[in-house]
Amino acid sequence: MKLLLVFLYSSIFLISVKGHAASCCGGGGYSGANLILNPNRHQQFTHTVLTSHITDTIDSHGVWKKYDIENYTLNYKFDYAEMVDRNWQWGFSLPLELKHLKNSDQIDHFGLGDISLVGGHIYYPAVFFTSITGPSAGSIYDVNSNSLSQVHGKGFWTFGLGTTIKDEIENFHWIIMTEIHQSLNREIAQQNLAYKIKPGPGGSVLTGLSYAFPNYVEWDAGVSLKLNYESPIKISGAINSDGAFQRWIDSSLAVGYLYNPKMYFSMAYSTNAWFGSPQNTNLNENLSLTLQIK
Amino acid sequence: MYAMIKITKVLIAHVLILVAAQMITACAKPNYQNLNHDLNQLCAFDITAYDMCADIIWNTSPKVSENSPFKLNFYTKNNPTILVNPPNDIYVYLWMPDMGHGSSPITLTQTTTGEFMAQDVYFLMNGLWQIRIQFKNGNEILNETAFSISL
Repeated sequence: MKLLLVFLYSSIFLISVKGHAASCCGGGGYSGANLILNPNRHQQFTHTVLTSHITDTIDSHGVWKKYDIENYTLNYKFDYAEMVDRNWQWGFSLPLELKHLKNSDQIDHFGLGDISLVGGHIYYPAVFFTSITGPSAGSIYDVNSNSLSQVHGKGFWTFGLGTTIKDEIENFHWIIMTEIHQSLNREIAQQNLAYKIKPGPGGSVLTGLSYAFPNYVEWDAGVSLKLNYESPIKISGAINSDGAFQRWIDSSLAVGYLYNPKMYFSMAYSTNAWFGSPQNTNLNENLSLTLQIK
Repeated sequence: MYAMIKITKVLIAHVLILVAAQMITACAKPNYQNLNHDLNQLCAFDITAYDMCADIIWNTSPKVSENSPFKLNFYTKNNPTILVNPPNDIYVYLWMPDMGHGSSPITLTQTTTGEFMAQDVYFLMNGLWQIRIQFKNGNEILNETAFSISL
């Protein structure tokens, strides 16, 4: 019975392949450009507006605490992907972020996020991809501020490798995306302290299922789950710290509408507070609107 | 051949659903604990190497993203009534050990013998923080001690 309920529940919502960073820090999860998954498509523009709100923080022992500060972020992300021949594609992702934090003072800051480049090869129904994300935004290691509002990026060069497989059975579409990444070490000299930051590898696995309504062919809906893991960040030098690993599961519910063969809208709600045993991370709720132009 | 592909697809779909079922049965279980403890601890910093202690005395309870100044008092372990200067220069900073980052610099001023005032103390977010004291001779770090605080 439980399985049947899960199946029905799963059938209602669309896949959303977006995972949202669960904390300020970490080695840097995959935030690469949206890939072209259909070999018959030449190029793809994706505009995403996302609002996010941190509700809780969880320490490395799994203890939850309500987040004290009034906060939200508003992100806009532009993704572009283009086929360079029948199988190869490239793309980029350009995020902008407005961060609002309020405690004794109201602090808002608008800035560029971390830009990423992605290259992919379609071997239908799979796409193999590699990504590079650069530290184009101020990170917790770079911003000398009394507030996190100026922190818009992870602060590392991050290289990723992954595979996405997407296919369909009748009116159901399914997707599996696996990805691993590694960020490069950094040297920091701040506050008369010089130390080295050594991020460990991280990775994620996403599964999703969506349903295209046969009587309302423009509409579809689905769910996705994304398991995320980040190795501890080790610090050595004038400061020594072993760090702790991070893990969380993003779950997402979404509906989509095909306005015309070239324009697709979707709306998704996602959170990492529902499943698994999140550890050493913030919990957040996200609402996104996406326009994809093919 | 077509039937085989179809069956494979259906099997994959079922595996996906089973994974989803596993996830749903493994719902996150909030584990809220009262982590409040006596923030004004005696001998919060146990500086064994110098047979010393340091107390931390907050002006007001520390809050996230707000200036949370505190006083540091150093004394020898065998006589907690008399303040003494630490044997070396000291450097005080905030650190999030699980996340691997710090905060903006603390301004430390010596007010009298063995007593220091720490200003510009900003805990940037909720979570486990450490107030760390380094004992230094120039750039050389001779010793380090830490006091943990959960916000």
